[in-house]
Amino acid sequence: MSFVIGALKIIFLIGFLVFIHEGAHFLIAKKSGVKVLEFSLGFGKKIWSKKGEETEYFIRMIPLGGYVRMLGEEEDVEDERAFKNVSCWKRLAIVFAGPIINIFFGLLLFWVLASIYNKSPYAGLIVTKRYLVMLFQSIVGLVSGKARAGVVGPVGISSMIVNTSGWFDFFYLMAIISVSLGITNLLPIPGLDGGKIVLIIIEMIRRKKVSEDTELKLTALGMLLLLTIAVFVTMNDVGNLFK
Amino acid sequence: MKKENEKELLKLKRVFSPKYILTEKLAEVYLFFALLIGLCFATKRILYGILMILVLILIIFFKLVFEKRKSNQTVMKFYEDRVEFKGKMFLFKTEERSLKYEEIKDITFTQGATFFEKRFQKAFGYGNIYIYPKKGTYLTHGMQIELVEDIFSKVEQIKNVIGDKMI
Repeated sequence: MSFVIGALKIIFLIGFLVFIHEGAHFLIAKKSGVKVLEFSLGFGKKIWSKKGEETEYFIRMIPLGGYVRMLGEEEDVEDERAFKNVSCWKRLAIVFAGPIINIFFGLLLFWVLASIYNKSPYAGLIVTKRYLVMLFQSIVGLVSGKARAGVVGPVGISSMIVNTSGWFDFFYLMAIISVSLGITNLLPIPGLDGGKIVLIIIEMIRRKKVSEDTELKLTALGMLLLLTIAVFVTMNDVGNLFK
Repeated sequence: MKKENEKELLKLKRVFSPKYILTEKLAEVYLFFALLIGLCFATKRILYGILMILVLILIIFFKLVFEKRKSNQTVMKFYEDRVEFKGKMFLFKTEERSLKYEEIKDITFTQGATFFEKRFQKAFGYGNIYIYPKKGTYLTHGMQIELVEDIFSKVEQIKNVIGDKMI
């Protein structure tokens, strides 16, 4: 039973955070006039799909991820509604939307929980502000090399989710993971939203698009880097679980 | 004349690239297995957790073996008047098919179908070629060869070989 409840906790937490992340990309893309071809919740084989006016909505078998596929996101297309053909500012807004919603949602949830715990929305606000300052100091410390990060990967995270006791504990962890997910996604690594942001900023400075070939190679390189990090973090996580 | 028709003008092979298979497969299943392993350990099902790690290793191992075999068995040859294919169209049976150029309805190519396939095939320069027949269905008479190296140049070469023989 604990296994099933644990699995449901993971699916709900990860599924929801991915849903709001992709949902934000989707909404801002639509608002910016970009043609969205697919909006998918989960990976793998499709279990449900519905064709909208121009977007096909999917629910796929593995509910631990999702994606938005926009026209001209990866390839050059001659269509003014293609992702690559809209202005840099619109593209920045679309890419930023996902991580920002995760950070915003995490902080909002943190404030709600802190308000409940302290029985006052104002006290909740002070605790949230303190958390934000602490978070900012940690990031500055990491960037300047003065602090060391205790990196936890998916194995460690799923273990933490399963071990939460009670709804307060669960939603507190959800808030922390949501903020972390947003910040991690803003790292300037190709393949992550932060990597895309860097490429758009480079384009704004050069006033010239980064070639499709270069972008693809950088993305693959970034994914390779992320996979390598993932393997090491997983080994570390599994090692910690045995301790 | 017959001799001219037997001259092999272009040969396409399915590439076997452990680097591509490892990255694509690992990217596809990593998160699922990582979360599952965490779940097993957290609920004190240590053996299941270890089993999941083994399953992940086995999936990748079998994928490598399966892909190696598939690459060895798959070939598409273009002659003066026809294209011949040998390999697995779908999962099980190895088939040999031949189509004269005038029997071909369309030739298309893609670079991956899934999220990760698309990204990695483009990055590695691989692609998949599909040949649709005029008569019969794609399932019974069509041809497909996946993971062709240097896909854009290969598509150009096919165009040069076939020319205007596909009416």
